[in-house]
Amino acid sequence: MAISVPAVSVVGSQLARVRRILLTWLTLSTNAILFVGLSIVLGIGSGLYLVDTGSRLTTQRSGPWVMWSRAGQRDLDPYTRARYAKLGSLPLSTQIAATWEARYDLDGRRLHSSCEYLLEAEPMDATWFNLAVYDDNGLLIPNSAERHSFTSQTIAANPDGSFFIVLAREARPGNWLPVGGAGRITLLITMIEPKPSVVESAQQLPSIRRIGCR
Amino acid sequence: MKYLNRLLGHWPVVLGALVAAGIVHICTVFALPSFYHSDAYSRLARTLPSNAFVILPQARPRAQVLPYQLPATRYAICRFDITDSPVAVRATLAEPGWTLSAYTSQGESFYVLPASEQRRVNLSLLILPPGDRFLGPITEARNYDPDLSTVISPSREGLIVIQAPLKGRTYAAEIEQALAQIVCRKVGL
Repeated sequence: MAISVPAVSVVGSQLARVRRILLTWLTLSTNAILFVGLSIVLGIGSGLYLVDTGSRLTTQRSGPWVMWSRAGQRDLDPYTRARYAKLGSLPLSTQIAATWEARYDLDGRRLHSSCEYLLEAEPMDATWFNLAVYDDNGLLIPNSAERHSFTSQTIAANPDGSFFIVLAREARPGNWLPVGGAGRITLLITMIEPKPSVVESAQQLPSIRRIGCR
Repeated sequence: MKYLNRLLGHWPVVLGALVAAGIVHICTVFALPSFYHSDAYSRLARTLPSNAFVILPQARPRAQVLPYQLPATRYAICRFDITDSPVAVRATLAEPGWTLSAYTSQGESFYVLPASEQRRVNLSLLILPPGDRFLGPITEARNYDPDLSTVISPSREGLIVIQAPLKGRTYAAEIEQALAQIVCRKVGL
């Protein structure tokens, strides 16, 4: 009996040591997984998000319209650079042009070709403007009317220069832009040499109101 | 709430992860352009010859060279390469709304000019790489063309893009004719 007591105590202490090591390892690995997971998900996720949507530092917003403030300029900030590398487009410099894009209507719903929209705009004070509609990848939408945009020369405007455009699948009277079956759509307004008031207040940008959906 | 409490129980780890996430965020944003091989320059470099203007066909569905290309605009693009010699560009911006933009291969615009509302803008540019390698022969070139303006390009390769808005289909031939006059060529200095 005098010999067996120390033997049990040695096994017990060994077991306790193994348990301690296992617990420490488990805590460390949980912390490591938490650390790595959080850093990667938050870091990459926030990076991709800000490159896609922009922030107050990189964009100017007016209702649903967004303009990347330094697009096409020298010494681009890394977000704008990544944004246009991703899109694959060649933006005109904001020194001479303003390019506004909209992916949502006035109520914040994603623009979609299954819905009909009414765009109402004040006269646009710029040398030239173009309002075009694209699918989600920046591609023109096939349609039998072969109509993809309106410009300052082709738009049928009111005598005071204001105008409206209807985005719909089927033909509509007036300025109709067909959206076909494109799915999600994006609107792009390019203004060359806009007056400063257009860029600063952006009040002349069209409102985008959803009329209905199928 | 239960998960949030658990997370807060590991606050030193969470705090460390937030700092690390900031570093990952910065690295991600800086690294993203090198992951996208379909930026505008890469797309155009695959098809366009160097040091010559190419007038792109009008953008149509399934026949677009670049995403978000303006359908009511004609584009003339010169992919320049100034590794061996400068490149001269002669162009006329015929109408209000016409623009000339020079981009580096990374998509930064280092020179931009719109047409004037009052008059046609005649341009004569010499695109040079940074440094003084070609500074001597430029004086010689100026003797032949006193209006020559020099523009230093931050990169040895890039794009000169002229955009000409279409006023309507009836003007298409006129615009194409005006674009056909523009020149982009290597200068044998």
